[in-house]
Amino acid sequence: MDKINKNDLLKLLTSLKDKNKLIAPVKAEKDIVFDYVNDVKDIVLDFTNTVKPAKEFFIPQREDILEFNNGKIKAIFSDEKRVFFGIRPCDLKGLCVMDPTFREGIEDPHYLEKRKNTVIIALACTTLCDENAFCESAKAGPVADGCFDLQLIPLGKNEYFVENGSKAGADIIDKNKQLFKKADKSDIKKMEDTKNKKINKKKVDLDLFLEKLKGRFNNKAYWKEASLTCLRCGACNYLCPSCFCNNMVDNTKKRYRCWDSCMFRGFTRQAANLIPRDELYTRFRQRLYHKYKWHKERYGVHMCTGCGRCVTYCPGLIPYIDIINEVSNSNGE
Amino acid sequence: MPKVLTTCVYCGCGCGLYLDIEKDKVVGVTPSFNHPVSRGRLCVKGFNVHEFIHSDKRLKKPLIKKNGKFVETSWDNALSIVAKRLKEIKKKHGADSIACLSSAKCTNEENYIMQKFARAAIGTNNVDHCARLCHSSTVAGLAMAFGSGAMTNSIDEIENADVILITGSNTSEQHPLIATRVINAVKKGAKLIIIDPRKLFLSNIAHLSLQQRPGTDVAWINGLMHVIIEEALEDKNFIKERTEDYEKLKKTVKRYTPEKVSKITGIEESKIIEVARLYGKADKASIIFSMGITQHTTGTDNVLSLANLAMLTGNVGKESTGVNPLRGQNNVQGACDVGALYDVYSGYQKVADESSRDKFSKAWNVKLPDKQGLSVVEIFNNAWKGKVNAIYVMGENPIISDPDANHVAEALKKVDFLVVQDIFLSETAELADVVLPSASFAEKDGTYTNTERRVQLVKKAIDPVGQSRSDWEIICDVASRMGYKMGYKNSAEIMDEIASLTPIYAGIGHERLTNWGLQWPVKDKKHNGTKFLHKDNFTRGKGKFHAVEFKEPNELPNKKYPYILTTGRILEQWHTRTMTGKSATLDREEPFGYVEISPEDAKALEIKNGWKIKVSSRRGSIEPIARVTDSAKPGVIFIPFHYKEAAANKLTNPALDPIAKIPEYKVCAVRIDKI
Ligand code: SF4
Ligand code: SF4
Ligand code: SF4
Repeated sequence: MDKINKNDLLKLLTSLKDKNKLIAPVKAEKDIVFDYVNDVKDIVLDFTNTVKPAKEFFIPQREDILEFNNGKIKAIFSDEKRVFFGIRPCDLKGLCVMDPTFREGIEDPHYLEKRKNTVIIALACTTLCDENAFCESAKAGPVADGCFDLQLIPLGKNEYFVENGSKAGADIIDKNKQLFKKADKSDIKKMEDTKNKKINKKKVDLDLFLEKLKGRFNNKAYWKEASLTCLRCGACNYLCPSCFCNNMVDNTKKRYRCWDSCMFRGFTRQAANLIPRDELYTRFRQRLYHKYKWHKERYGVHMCTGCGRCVTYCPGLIPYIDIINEVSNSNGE
Repeated sequence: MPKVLTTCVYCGCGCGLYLDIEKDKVVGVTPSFNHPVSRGRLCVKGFNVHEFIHSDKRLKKPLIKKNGKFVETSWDNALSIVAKRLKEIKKKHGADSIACLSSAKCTNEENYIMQKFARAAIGTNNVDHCARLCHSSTVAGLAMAFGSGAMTNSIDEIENADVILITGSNTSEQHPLIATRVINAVKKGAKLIIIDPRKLFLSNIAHLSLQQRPGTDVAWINGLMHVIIEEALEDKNFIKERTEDYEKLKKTVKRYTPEKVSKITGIEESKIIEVARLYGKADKASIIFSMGITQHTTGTDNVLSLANLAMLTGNVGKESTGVNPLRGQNNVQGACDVGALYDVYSGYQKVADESSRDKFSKAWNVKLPDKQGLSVVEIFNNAWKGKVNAIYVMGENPIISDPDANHVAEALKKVDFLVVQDIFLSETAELADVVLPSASFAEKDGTYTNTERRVQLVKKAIDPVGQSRSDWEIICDVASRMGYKMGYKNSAEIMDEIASLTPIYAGIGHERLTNWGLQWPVKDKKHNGTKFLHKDNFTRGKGKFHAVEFKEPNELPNKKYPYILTTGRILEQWHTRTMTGKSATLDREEPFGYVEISPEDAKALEIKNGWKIKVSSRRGSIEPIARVTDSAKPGVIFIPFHYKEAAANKLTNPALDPIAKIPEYKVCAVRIDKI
């Protein structure tokens, strides 16, 4: 088992940057964001999570996917090799949760190529990132339990325990042996303490929620009341690390796809302008059922990693956590 | 991906966001967590603000019309045609035969350049913009009552009010991030009162939601004051210390008993009393209003009445109170501030005032016209009469946005020369002789001033699309070719000139705006701006009460036109859809024009939800899709004005408020027919 100190970590990232495009948390003008990095000195190591989740590098908000040229159609791919450093456990789990939807049935090469070509070095959390986070209840964080190539777990200020999660991860350690040190007993204890430490302020029981959702679907009054102040902005999909729905748009030169939101009225607009989920409460309900019931029943995981963004960034101030707890504690009707 | 911090181009909330850049294209939007207005949140328009930027319909080259068709041309050719034609027309018909329409979508710097161009290069005060059509009555009314025509308080303060009175503002649709503050206030226990002809989204969480007959606002506001005085809820100290002409007001509102007011407005007597008590007893009461108040022939009266109400109860000049007009466009506040109005230079310095005129004459090195210019509506009336021969439009689409749109189109067809500068070939641009492609907000630097007077930076994220150029650069070139030299290194230099001539902007410079901008007045380079206005003194000294009598709207329903039409907007579309109509995500939400009609009226007319129906006024008719909903009151229908296919403004009444010259968009008489 290995560990690495901060200086050596930056050296490691510098060397990885030579052959790969490096993505990491940096300071934009006023906020911490994920961006391509030229100088590893710009990387911010002690950041709380970004507003926009890491998924934007795998399924961008807008992405050209086909090019039309004189009757010829060409698919647009990127086979760029990338290293993504600093992804937090909730965003990481978000990718794992959406993977099967792009993999099973019809494969989506635009997404899968990017997943395949990106080495992920995750960064575990030791402090609370957001008042509304419930990653512990969602079994996503504050330390990831898989999905990464390498995971760094802070051991104090300047040192990280290194957990290896894949062959690509092992290769990195192998090729850069001089930068890693063996973790001793006290390091391992510290690492385990971090893994066991509870830092969330909010708690939910997603399995109980799923059970109670079963009888609640037709409780129109409840869903109407719950969605009363939703301003249809789409943030609870756009900024959610595990939402993946997108819309296809053609213009004369290109087909692009862009993020979509089940909270939008047009999401289910059909020919002849029939809109099955025309009423706001039905869309609101749809989002919760997909996330907390149907996805789990289909793929075995909840489509929520407890990052808290849907609460923190909701302009309608919808208290999603309270809703989950309220339904969980109800008689299920 | 690289992210450039800028300000949203849609509404007056002025949310902060980053544009995400990938391979020289804007591919997404990231909210800014630390922005003081938006705090990491955005509305659906903000989240999708990138989508229109790379639309394949963007104008990429200058166009000139040959034999009725547009052909591409070089900048050099287009600019020399514009300069030559404007010079010819000026020589032949005089400077006042030319009119300029500025734009609340453009930056402060560009608006300043446009009015300078009109006044100094052409020599006319015929410069105006759509603010005339939204809040000119606010500017006039609040200037008369308080001395300053802007939102008195800040967005942040709304959260801490005890009572919020919203009237004539569909806040959740038009200012979503201000609705957030209202929702939060209600969560914290504030009482929300909504008075609007329609039941609104926020009515769902309102303590009281009342629907008045459109155009009867002076009556119910006078009624509230009647009850407040009757029950001794007025703030005697405030009235004594801070105001004048109270006795006149008192005398007038004495006659507006709840009984009388109820008859006029259709609001129950008991509700009028209840609202008066709620508002009158509140420690901190905030009034929020918008175009439902301003777009009337009595627009200025309505605004004066709200100012009366606030002063009567001492709800102005302190935190979480005030009279708060929500300005619609991203930069409508700024476009007014920098003088894109026919009667004032930047900072509301009057053209009629000789010392102001001297000051600007000296600074611009040219003799300036002293005759007041024409307002937007008058420009088209005069064009129609052949008295305005050339119109220069920057980023506006009056064919859809102005009242009696058929008349506007005819007027535009009549002028000898029409230049339109825009990012898309708008319906107005289609009629132009020359079309000049301008850069979008993502392609230039500058500033916008949001509804709370916050002057914020707009930053260049990508190079201009095609051959497009910033509006200010284009206008400076035209001016120079006309013989009046205008040129600036960058937009920061323009702001320095604005600051040097404009007391309320005196302390502003781009370098000082990097920390979320500054709220004007900013008196000098050391002053940090002003959170709320009229703290110890009103801008004009004492606050002035105005005794206002109720007047009926210009056009009332009759046998032939039995329904009242009121117009407005919806969340996902913006104005005439030049931008949102090119955003697949936004346009999909509400792609077709519709009309809201009450179940009672629909039943009487045998109309079903989803049917196309014909709505006609004395000026025209359109065919929107019927939406039967109980948010409309029987006798009143509502049409969002965004759609050219069902342009509500073909129906609206161009009758003007006598003071502010704002048209009565909110009330006209219509008939409904099945088709
Ligand atoms: S974030 Fe809030 S307001 Fe926006 S769509 Fe979701 S629930 Fe509605
Ligand atoms: S549903 Fe909300 S808490 Fe869960 S992952 Fe999405 S944004 Fe985060
Ligand atoms: S509320 Fe207004 S400024 Fe904010 S994102 Fe929406 S349109 Fe833009």
